[in-house]
Amino acid sequence: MNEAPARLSLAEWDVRYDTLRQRGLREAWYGGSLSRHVEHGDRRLLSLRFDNSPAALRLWNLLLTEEERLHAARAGGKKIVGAMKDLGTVPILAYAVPGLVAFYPDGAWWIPCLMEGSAGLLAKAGALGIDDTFCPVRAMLGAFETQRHFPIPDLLTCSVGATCDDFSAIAQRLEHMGHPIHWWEIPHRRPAEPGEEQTLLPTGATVAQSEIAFVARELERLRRVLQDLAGRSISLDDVSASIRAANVVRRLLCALRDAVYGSPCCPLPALEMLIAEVLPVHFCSDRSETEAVLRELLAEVVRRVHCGSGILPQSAVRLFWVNPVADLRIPRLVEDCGGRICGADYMFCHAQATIPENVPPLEALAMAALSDPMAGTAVDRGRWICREARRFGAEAMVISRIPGASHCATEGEIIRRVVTRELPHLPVIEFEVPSVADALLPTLQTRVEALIETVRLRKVKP
Amino acid sequence: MKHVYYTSPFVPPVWIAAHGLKPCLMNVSARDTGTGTSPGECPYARAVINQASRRDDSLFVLTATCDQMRRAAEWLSLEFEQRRGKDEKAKDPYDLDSPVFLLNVPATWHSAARDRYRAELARLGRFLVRKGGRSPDASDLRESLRSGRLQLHVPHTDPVGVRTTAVPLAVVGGPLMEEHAELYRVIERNGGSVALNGSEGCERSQVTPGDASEFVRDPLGMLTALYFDSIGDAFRRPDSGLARWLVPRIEQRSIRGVVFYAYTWCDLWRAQYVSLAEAVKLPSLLLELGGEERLSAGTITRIQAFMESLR
Repeated sequence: MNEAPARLSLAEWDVRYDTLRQRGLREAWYGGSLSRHVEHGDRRLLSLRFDNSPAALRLWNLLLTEEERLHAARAGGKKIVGAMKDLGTVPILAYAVPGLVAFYPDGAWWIPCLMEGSAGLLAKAGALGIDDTFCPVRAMLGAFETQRHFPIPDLLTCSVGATCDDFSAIAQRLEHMGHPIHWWEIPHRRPAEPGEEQTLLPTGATVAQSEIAFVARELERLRRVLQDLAGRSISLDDVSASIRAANVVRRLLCALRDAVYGSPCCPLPALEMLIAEVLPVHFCSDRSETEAVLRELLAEVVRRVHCGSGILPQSAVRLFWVNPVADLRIPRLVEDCGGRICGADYMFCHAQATIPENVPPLEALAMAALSDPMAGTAVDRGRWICREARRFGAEAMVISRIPGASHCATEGEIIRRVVTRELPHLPVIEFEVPSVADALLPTLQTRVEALIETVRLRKVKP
Repeated sequence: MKHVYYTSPFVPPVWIAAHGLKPCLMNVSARDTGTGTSPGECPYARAVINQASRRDDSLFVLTATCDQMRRAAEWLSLEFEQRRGKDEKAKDPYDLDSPVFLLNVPATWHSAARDRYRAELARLGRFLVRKGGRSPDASDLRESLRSGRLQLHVPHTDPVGVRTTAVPLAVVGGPLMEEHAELYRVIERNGGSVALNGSEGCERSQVTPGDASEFVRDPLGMLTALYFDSIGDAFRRPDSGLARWLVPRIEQRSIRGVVFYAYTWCDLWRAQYVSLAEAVKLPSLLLELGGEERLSAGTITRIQAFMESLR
């Protein structure tokens, strides 16, 4: 099964799937051909390109069966926790006990893209007063209203404070629609002032110890709420064990990022990497499968790196990408233009940092939560981006704005200033990517091509 | 005496005055919006940045009550840093030299959040002392309370007056730039009367003066009770405090319609429109305000049509 790496269309994958099956492909219980998801409405898959490895097939199937698996979990008696505006904190608490399954309702922001708008979620959100001046995550509101996607959770939690206004407003609207929310506070991350104790976070930012203590108390409140839902106690030992399990996943992702972004041969497409990077946030509703998927992907990538085989020519220009894109065609566009993504800050970079195991577990989780780039300054975020861009040898940077997102109004410019100071020779461009970017694709393509040409010309000139 | 500029009703001017500094409410003007708004940027936040960055030798207390203002504080701090020539390498925006203080007002209401607001006021006090203020003693506290500096009061948002023949309306929204107070005049010219003012800095965010001896005994406790416990706002979660403030007053004052306003890209107030309109069960109008120096013709026409439908 060790064919040369390639990006396949959906039709090509169907042929390959049959071949793999004949050769004895073993799949997880949620496996199957990718094209079946189109029949369920994910029409965007028809215009994507997929990595040809069985490991990537498993990754896609894990992602695209999440709603189905959540319904099955409920039918099996499990309680569902919707962890909103939460990039990897509450799920770790929830997975500390059997009987709870946590997922990330905000992930619905990809539904308009995957279903090419056919689900009408953005229009539903608009009818509920959340129009297109809000970030595309408003699709989540439509998903709650139609109840045709994920099951309505037994418990909804939402972090608020140093978060984006879009989500805070959308979640509040959701509560007014009759979905009670357990709000918890994530404060703006600030360094210690004179006389205060300071702590270094896993992502390299610093924070006053009093902030960690405050968030740890918030997590203690959450622990009690989750205990009530689970109908059993969640001990600190349970939380510690869950942190250790989450760290296994995080280390796997780190190894995968190092192998993919650090290799000269681009062993895995950017689209599969984008999906892999989101997995530690909530484990795609199944922690053990997430671990298995990442292990398989890593093994495939290590094999490809060892053989020196990649999906793109080695001359592909190395781009660092800032912010997630709601239209999944954009990574392919970059690769088709002669670029490759060699590092990214999709706003969940902190979910790949190892959570400290040598401090009390709620404090450790608080440190993980405070590492969220959204909680800190744009300067802090810019510094992390610079470190990563340097580490992976980025030759240019793209800051993709999220339409309507409150943090994107000024953050991109500050990040650009930090990058210009610290990496003065790195060209940076910024543009906006909507959920369904059809109308903008030619413009985006021209901008990416121009950036890549600029880098290539610099390489030629002494 | 050093001036300390602020914009939010969650910054108690009395606490600044007690430190021997002069609290100054920023009179935010659309003229300060300039042409420099980035895509998605709130014109009010931009106007605050532009106005504040022209004021040297002053201090600024901004609040993390919305994402745009939190980031405006960072931007402003970086502007001052750049002016000080600290641009050789990325510095922390809130280093000890910065004249900008970001007050983290919790969005949630529970007791730990309350304690945190109190701790933030204490941290503000330490900032003011570092910047030349003095640690307040009992007489400073008494004097600042006596001088009536409890209130955030935005004079330009005062309605002209309640006329008995006019249609009583409520106006509800966040901060309002000076020029946009024209909306009160437009309402009044068209037969309305603002009988309930829920704009920031008006009735909704006024606090009742407390007892001086209580203030001297526990200033932070009293300020927390006065401000954090009582002001309902769009950023608070849950936001029930807003409806709790608005609905009974609507009934008491026989209000017949509600005019909501929100600046372009202000998610928090824009989203309030549907929820509060549902809560008050009255004809409601949402006005979207931009950074222009006059109300747009479209905005004025919308007010006129709304008033016509109520008469």
